[in-house]
Amino acid sequence: MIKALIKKEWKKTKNITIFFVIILTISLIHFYFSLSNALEHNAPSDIFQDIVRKEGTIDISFLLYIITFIGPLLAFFQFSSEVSKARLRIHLHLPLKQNFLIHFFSIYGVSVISFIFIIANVIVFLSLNTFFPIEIFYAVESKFLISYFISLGLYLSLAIFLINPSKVIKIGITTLSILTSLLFLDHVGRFFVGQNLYFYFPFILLSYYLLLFHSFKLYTKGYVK
Amino acid sequence: MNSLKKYPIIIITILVLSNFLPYFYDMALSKRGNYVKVGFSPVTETFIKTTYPAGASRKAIYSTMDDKTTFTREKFEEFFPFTYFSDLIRWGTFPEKLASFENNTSVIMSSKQRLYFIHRLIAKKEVGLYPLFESQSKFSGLELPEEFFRFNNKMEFINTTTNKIEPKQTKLFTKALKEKGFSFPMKKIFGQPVTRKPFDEGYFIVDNNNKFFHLKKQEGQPFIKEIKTNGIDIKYMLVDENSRMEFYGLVLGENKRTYLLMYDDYEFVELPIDNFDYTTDRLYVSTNPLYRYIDVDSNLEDKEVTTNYVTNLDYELVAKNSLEFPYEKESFFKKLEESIFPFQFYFSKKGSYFYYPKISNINEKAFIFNLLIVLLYLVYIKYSSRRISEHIINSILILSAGIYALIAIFTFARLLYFRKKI
Repeated sequence: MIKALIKKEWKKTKNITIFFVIILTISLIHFYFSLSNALEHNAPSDIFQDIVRKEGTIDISFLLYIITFIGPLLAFFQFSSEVSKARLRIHLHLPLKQNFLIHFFSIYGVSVISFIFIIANVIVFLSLNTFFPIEIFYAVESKFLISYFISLGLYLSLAIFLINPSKVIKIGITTLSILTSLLFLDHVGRFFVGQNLYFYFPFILLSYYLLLFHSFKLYTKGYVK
Repeated sequence: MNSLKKYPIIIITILVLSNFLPYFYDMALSKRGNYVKVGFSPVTETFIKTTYPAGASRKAIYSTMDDKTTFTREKFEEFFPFTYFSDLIRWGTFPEKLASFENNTSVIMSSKQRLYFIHRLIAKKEVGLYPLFESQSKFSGLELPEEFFRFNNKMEFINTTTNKIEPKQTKLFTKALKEKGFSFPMKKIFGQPVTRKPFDEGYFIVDNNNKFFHLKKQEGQPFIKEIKTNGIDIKYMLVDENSRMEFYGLVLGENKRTYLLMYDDYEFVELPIDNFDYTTDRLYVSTNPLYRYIDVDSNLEDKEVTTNYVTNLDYELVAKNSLEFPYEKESFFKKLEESIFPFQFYFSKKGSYFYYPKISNINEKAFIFNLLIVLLYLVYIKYSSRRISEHIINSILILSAGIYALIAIFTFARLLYFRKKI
């Protein structure tokens, strides 16, 4: 049964996951070659100085955008088709507990985002460690991690938006997720800035998760308000 | 969602709204006031004011501090011959009082130095890799070294080409530091690791035992000097290499005390300023042949305060002026703000690179408004056929967080539909 559910989720999200994996692979290859190219044409000490002072050489903004957008797009592909034809309610007839199903859906999405994030991280780590000391990876990671948390937040909030039948909650969660993302994105500009903001994310993600849980229940109960 | 599950999202909504609503309100209704700059004239030995009026016209008005006398721009420039000497010499209006400088502008030029400290500098975390320049190079310009260093339990040099540790330099500098009594790892390091400066003074380092050291590289060898701090707890140092070679930089100590670290025997000279809070304020130090100027800008909750200190060459206070600029808002909107927003939430970064949640601008008046909202809320609950006993927590939240809680509860607690009367 679980295998079938995984297969079903995979079928829904296969295209978008493969799309992101391809985009990510291209951008990581570009990242690696732009680094080695920069090191070929400049004195290594100049590159070091550039990174330490201006943070310009290691341009990971494209990677940050990819990681940030995986969350909402995955949620869209995972839940929009279920909601549009009210198929979500059909899951109630499966011989599985409703709570288990809710956990399953969200854990599947979170796992896909985390998997892509971890793969990207490993490649960034290996690329950077080839040329630079570990301090540079820590600096890059300090920006990377925030975009991962924002992605998870956007995944959960878009899922709530799609599933929750209440228009007020739809508007509320949209506004809240935009404002929360702004609040945190505001501090992502430079290396290390706001690194302890990660500690606030678990609470935010937990509250989103509880609301998602509630939204599933409302949906399956047939509320339309 | 009758259980407590809804409260995390409600609390987050309250916090997010309490960050953004007062901010949006301010953006929409605050009026920009006049922008005022104050300078001390070495000619009149008084403060002169430049006012840039709010609005589209940004034409400056030059006047005395009491606004009784206004000046033309030409007259204003005459009051500041060390700034506008090129114009004044061209016009032949260089003040007689300072005539000795008219034909000696190189003295004016060489006596200029500017330091600018903003609280953000102290809250910035570095990557942790630093270049150590050769400070006695035979070439006139500074060149980036091939090795960068890091501090752990030694001073470790990393070759930027091979990305490997340089054992020779590491051993040389670590040994030299240990011989001078340096205790690893270091706590703070201050320097200006850029090539665009006339020369290099290396780094100033606070070691693990709070001892203060000066470190630089001279002809490939370490130059290390322990600096006696006389009990000053060094919070930050703004290093500024300048050809004047009067001071190494600005040192911020505890209890709002600020010093200059002089070239002369590494002496700390305390600046005669009070109430400079390095976690929130901005500080400018500038010099000319006769005076030292220290300007402090503080952003308080309801106003901005600019204090100008003028000292002689021995850093003894000569004159002081303070101006306050209240944040302008029409009184009705100001009162309304105080009544509807009980507090403001934001992430504070005071004196560190970590963010801490902070609640400020607590308005007592707003709690009266909150009480009114609670009463209306309870009337609504009763009217919409709900049980008041189920809404006690919501009422407490509204009483404490007012309008923020009301919006959050109505958004996430599904209260906008009416229950059928039984």
